[in-house]
Amino acid sequence: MPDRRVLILEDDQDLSKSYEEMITLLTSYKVIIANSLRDMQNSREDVLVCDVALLDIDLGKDEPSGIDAYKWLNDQGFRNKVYFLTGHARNHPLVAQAVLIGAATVLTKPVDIDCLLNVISGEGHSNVPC
Amino acid sequence: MSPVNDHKMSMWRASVMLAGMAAGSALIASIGFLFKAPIQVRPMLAASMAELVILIILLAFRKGARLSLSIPSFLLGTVVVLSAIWVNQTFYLSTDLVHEFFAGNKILALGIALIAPPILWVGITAIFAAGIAPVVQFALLAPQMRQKLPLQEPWLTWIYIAVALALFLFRRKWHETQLRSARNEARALVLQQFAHLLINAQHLTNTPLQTIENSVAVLRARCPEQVELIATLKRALARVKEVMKLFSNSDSYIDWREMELPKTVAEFEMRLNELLEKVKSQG
Repeated sequence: MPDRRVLILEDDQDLSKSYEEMITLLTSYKVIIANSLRDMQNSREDVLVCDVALLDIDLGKDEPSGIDAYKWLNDQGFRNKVYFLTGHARNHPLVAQAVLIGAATVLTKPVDIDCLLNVISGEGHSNVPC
Repeated sequence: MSPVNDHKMSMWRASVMLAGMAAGSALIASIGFLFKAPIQVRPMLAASMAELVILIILLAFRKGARLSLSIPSFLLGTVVVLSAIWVNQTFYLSTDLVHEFFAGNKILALGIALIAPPILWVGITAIFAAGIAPVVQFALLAPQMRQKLPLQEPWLTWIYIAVALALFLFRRKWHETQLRSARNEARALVLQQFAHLLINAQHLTNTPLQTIENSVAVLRARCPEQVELIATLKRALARVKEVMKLFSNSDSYIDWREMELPKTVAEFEMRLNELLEKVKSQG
């Protein structure tokens, strides 16, 4: 699947860089990195053609969250698979809110690489431990 | 509040209560005497004024609540009350007016027991003084005057003194238990906040852990010959992940409405230091 595109929304610069490096090295997918919702909106055309979106839930103090990004994607007609990534505890209110959305799966960092690769390849996350 | 400060404040409060109540009681007694026995107004008013002065001094020097001030104030306040009662008894003995002798001493002893100064010797001394005064006064009376007293006095007063002592010791014990319980509760709260903060801080480590996880995968792809190094890194990473998983298993105990997450390591350090300061201040 050489034309597959992956959207990564992550506010941590080091982590987003490492995602990009790891995914491009291990797969032939194209990676679109956004560090904020604003970034995502600025790259709207690239973002909306992605096959899978990995959205970090907490994007920093006073910044729109990954949940806001999910809603924006939804409003824009994005119908592909969305995963939330979080470093927070499962019971944290933002994470609980993300779980309630239902249509998106929540993955807790640090996510195992095999799981991450399965997720972005579209095979899902249920056949490997995440 | 530290145990030492709490002790000082309790003693100061007890002295203020005694001085305040004694000043008020003596003033009411002097008003009561105004029409029936004007001769008694002056000593009662003097006692009231003396207690008022003690009260004002205590209030003026409330900062620090020094024991060197509150203990003498308490004992002096007791002596002033006992002197007023002594004068009062003497007056009644010189008349044929109906009077319940040593009622003041009994009330004072029970009052001290209820106020319960936190320092044992202060409370016991004051209660004993309330019991000894009638005995001394009785001993100093002429035999014909003694006959004016009820048959069981001054020894009946000592039943009140015994009750007051028991009450005082019970109140003191109760106060100590309350204090210990409040201290333990405060310490438990701080420790709980400490544990919550640590659990909460997992998001500060999970993001860099993901970076390391990704970087190990990159290293494995770029330098496949570094088998040992990659295996070592993976083992170390697995151990850290295991510990972090244990932390995350405890997160269901957190009331998130009460917690504000530290967003940065610097904020986490600041909050941690605040909690450690609290622990230190609790002794």
